[in-house]
Amino acid sequence: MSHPQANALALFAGGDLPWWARWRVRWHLGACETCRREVEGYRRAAHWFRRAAAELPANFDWERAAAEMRANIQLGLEAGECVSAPERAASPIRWRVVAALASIAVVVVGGWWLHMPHPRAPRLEAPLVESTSDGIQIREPEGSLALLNPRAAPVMVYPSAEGAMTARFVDEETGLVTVNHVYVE
Amino acid sequence: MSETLPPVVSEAAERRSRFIAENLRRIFVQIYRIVGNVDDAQDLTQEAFIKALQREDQLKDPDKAAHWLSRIATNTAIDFLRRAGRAEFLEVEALAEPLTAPAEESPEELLLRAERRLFLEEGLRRLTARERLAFVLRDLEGLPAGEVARRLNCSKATVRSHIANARIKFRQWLEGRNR
Repeated sequence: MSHPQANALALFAGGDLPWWARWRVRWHLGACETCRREVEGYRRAAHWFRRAAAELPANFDWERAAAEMRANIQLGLEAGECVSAPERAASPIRWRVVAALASIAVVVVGGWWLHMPHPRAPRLEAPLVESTSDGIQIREPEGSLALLNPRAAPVMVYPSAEGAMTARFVDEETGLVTVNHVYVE
Repeated sequence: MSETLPPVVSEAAERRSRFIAENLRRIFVQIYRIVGNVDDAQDLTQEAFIKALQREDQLKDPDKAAHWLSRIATNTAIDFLRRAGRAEFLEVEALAEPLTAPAEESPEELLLRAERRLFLEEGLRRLTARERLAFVLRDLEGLPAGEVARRLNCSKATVRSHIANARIKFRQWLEGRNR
């Protein structure tokens, strides 16, 4: 029969093995008197340790040491009170208030910034009819088309609310009236 | 006519004194088992109490305060060992004053107790500093291995190894005495 290692038994005695290793050792102990005695030995040693450790050191005058320590603790506390700033006690609360206000400010400023209208670069998405010095132009993202006016004749240009543009001029030689009405559907 | 007035002791000062009286011995022994030296244990006990009493708001619940103080004491002792880079512990200084003990103890009981104390100290000296620390925190303070690992800043597996080694060495020492 193979026995668990001494480390495993020492840890098992104090309940420090992981569950699967604990289960294996427990299984083994069910059939092994030698290992059961080992585990019992570790438990006895731990019990002895706890009892003995509660004792004060050997040859030690506790009453005198305790009186010294009490006096030094008192002295230390008084020295601490002298050097500590009086307002220090309130600082944790003040910090909490400052942190809360800062959080609220971040939320308010963030919300305002998100809802603020931001100037954007004009982006042409639909055809646009416009009047230029040369005539009436239709501009699209892919390109533009211009309907030129005669340079000599005076031209009357009328824009309409629907986005259409009308140019009217009279040919001086023939007297013919031309009306260019340009709109986008 | 002169009248002696009783000293005015504030409620806080009274609470402090009671807190020190109730916990001083326990904390001293706890630190002493970790550092293994009387002088250092005295200094560190004072340090732990001063740290604790400077936060008086923590002392309102006595059970919680005692637990909290134990934690401060352990951490203070561990910090001290880290600072000092202690690999081994110093001898316990024998003081000139005689051993004080309750009056009802017989000379035989006194002798037995003294022998047990010396034997314990000798047994603990056989452990490395980290084995001793892990052993005291786990088997004396009753902290779970995970918490011991956290305080020693190492893995749980390493702590288990220290605990197992310490238990084996200590038991061997103890059983050697009884043979």
